[in-house]
Amino acid sequence: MPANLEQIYAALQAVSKGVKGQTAALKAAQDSALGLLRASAARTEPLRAKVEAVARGSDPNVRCAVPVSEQIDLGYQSEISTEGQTLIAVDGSQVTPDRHEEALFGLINVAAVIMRTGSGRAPDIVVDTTLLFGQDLYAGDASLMSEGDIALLRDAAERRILLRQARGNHGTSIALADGPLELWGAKDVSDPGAFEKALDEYLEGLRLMESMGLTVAGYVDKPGADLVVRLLEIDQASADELKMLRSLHPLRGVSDRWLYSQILSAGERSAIFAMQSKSRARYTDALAIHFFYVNVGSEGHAVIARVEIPRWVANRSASVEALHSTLLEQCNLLGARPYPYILHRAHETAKIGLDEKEQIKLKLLLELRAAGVEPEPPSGKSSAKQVSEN
Amino acid sequence: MDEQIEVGRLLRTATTGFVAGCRVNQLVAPAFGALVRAPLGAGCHVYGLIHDIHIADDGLVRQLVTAEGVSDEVLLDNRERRIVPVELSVLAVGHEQDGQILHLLPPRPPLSLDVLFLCNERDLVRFTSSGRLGYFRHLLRSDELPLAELVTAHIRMAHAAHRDGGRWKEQAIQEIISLMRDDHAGLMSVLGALSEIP
Repeated sequence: MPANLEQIYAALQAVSKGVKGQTAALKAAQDSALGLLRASAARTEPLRAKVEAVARGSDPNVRCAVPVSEQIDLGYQSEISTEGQTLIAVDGSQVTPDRHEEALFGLINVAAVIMRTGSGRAPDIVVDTTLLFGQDLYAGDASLMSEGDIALLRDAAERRILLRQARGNHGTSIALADGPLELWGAKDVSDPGAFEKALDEYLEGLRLMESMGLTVAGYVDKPGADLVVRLLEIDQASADELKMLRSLHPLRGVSDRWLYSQILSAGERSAIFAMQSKSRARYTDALAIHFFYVNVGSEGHAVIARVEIPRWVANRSASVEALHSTLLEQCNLLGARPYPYILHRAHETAKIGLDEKEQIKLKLLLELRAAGVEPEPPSGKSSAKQVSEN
Repeated sequence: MDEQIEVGRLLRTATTGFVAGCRVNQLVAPAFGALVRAPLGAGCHVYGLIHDIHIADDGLVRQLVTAEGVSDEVLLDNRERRIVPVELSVLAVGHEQDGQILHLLPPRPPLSLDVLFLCNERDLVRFTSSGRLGYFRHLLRSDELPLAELVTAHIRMAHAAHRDGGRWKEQAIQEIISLMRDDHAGLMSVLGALSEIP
């Protein structure tokens, strides 16, 4: 049954009527945010002190940017050469078990692409695939693994392959992952113990990468966060307002992406910020998460990405410059839709398409039948869906 | 058939011809006009001539062609590591059954994913000297083939393999003239192309 077009039409009319007013309100908030950013730019120390006070007092879980040392309304360039770097990018994909199908199975597929810039050699590609079957499919509480559980396994596998390849490829300088550097998903996991275990393993891996002097970064494409905007809101809030910080959003709708699209010229990065968030207690000392924004677009067509780095990288300006230059060069390869080429290749390699999933399922069914196990038929719901889709 | 040069695996097949896919780094071996063979099982092989080599693009390649300063690493990545679809189109021109070569279409097509082998010079001489060049009619039956170029590429390769002072080549050209005697324009085009063979 198609969507109710009459209702959609009415809703679109309402959108159209409301959008003018919303646009005006957003424009006012954007102007205000940009003005506040410029006005607060030289006040690095008071800004930091205010966030620290909030994090220690009214809201320890507040999520916002914390200025470090660079002026926050300026753009910074990098001219460093990218020749002679060994880059590793990782990505992963998953198949979540579906009880409606004939065979209950899951898959974790992670890929690493290792590219040596200036070598004239094709990159090395490593793929690790794990089939989850039988007891592997159940979480600690005996329930069937959820999408969040499988995603956590995938994240952990991505981090493991990154560490393994970094250790096996001496001279690796930059290790890139798609998305934030923080391990996410605590609230989506059936077994909190599993998340804690994966986080401990991840933090240990980060420490090892620090000891190897590796430049580790997470690339967040089209970021939706308002970390710097939140900082500005906190800066403007009175003591009373800070007590109700969660409902205080005078700059609602303004994103950091918009803010820095106004500040950064093509190729420039923002100041480096520290990340204030709930997870700050776990990512401590050299592992503390920092980030900067970078304009990987062209003149007049800003494309802002967020790059997350641990403190040990943020503290080494040569590493930040090399990372900055490498990201620009990698993004430049994909032209008008900039994104790091090597990350795209890791994604392309790791992705399990529907056809591939079906082939793996068929092979599994054959193996089961050969072993004398007759798989259950698919559910009526699944069969009916297939019929209506065909 | 002592030398086995694998040039790809079959994607789509029919009795009249088939399409094989290969990796870009396998593309050194197969050439336009080359004789190839695919197994049919039970001592049977189908022979064909490569009449088109097609390298398809994809979204990433389209983005890269507009980029400046694409490094060697990225080029090699796309050519050697990515699944760039290179397709070889083959016209079936005969088959072999129990050691006997027949210039007739095969009894059935090969199966998808079967390996496609490039024929060596010995195979080429054996196939082209068997019978009376009857396989030329398969080339002439299609209007969509680049006939003059395909015939010339094939005769040039076979002539080099025969090493008989040009005797086989003369015989082949006479057969082409005979088969195309009612198509003056087509024949002139083929003879024009054949005159390029030294």
